[in-house]
Amino acid sequence: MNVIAYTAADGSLRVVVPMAKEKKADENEADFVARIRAKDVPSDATDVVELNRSEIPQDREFRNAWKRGAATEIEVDLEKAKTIQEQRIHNAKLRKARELLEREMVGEDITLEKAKLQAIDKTIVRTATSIDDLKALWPISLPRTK
Amino acid sequence: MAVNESISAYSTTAANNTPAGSNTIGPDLDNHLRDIKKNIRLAVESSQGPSAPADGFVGRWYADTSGSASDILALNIHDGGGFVHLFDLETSANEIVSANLAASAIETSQINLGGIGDSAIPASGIDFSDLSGSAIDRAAINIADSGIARAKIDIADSAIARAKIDINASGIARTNLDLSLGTGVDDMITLISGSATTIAALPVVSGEFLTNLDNIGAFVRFDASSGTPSAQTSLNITSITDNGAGDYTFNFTKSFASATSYGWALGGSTQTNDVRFAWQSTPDSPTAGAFRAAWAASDQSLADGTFHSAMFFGDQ
Repeated sequence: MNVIAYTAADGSLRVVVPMAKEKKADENEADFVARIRAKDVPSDATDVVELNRSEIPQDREFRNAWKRGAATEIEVDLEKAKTIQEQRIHNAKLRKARELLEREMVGEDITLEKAKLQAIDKTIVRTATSIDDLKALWPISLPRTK
Repeated sequence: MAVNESISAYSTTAANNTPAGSNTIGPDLDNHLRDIKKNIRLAVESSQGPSAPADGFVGRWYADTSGSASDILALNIHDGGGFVHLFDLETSANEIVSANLAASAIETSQINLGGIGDSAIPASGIDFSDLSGSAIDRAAINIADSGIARAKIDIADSAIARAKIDINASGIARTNLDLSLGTGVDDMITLISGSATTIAALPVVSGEFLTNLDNIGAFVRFDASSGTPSAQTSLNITSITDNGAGDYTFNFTKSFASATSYGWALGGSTQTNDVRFAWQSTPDSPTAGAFRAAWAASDQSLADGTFHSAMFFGDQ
């Protein structure tokens, strides 16, 4: 079953996934997808295209950086992904800082951990040259949100 | 004095037949006797055959054997203008399998199969296809015999204003009621009890039979952990729009009555049992036909998950 990708008015890439169960008995797949496209794709959508599910990236780690691509139908915008990763590191540092503060308040020595946390430079992600690079640049000492 | 007459030239009044009584019959008596024997033989032979006899007259019967390869013998009678088909007899089963009835003949009648075992009912059942739909004001078909394992009633004409089907025999082990409604049917199913103004309660139905109910709202269970959202099951959802990480829009097949006429319940988790909490997403307010929702991880950042569900209840 094909899906429908389009660029929304806010610039984000969206994917409409038809529910196979809703296909009518007297409808072929192409007609079904066309009906869903007419019904569920907004009128201000641009660059609307029907894609096979296999053309959709399986990795959603940088889903909000997806864009229509030249080499592949959908690709990850590296610059957008860097911004996302930088924000994630920032948020993770804040969570860790709150944790350290709580532990310090109850008398624990957090000197070394505090220094390590302060040494983490979120802008390191700017040096990434690929998505794999970007993933590898996540600071080892910083826990990730599950 | 005529000779070589066909049987249609004969009269039931003796005086009207030939010879006239005053004829000198000497040389033609032989021919008259031959005529009589010929016509007796023709009368017998012409009562059956693959085509109708040419010399028909009012009240003459004729059995059409053209369908004998299918064990069908079609009985006809001459009405003065020609032979009229009455019914088809299936000779192998000794049963009448179809009859040429006028629509008005069953306008208010009841066809009652009570007491007849299903083996006596031909595979074609009761076929209304030869009747003018507009002529059927109301048809009542009672199937009361406990021996009938399955009854199928097809009412195909869109001009039928109302169809009532009573299946009330306590001995029927199982009833499959398949309603195939074509275009032009406005009222899908109306439950009535006693009078047309009282809505009957639905019977108690086990959960396993609660399928294909399109008016109770909408739901979907989906996995958004990789690729695009993949639904395991759904009802009344034509599509899910993947807006981004943890951000989805559910597009309803049948819209709710309005944007404020329904409520929702959302939930989810990941493959490793990390919680995902969800809420109505604000970028797009709910509409009668779509609902946008967001799923987030414990740090409130939008995030995907494996086991997501969304349910919607309200007036449609």
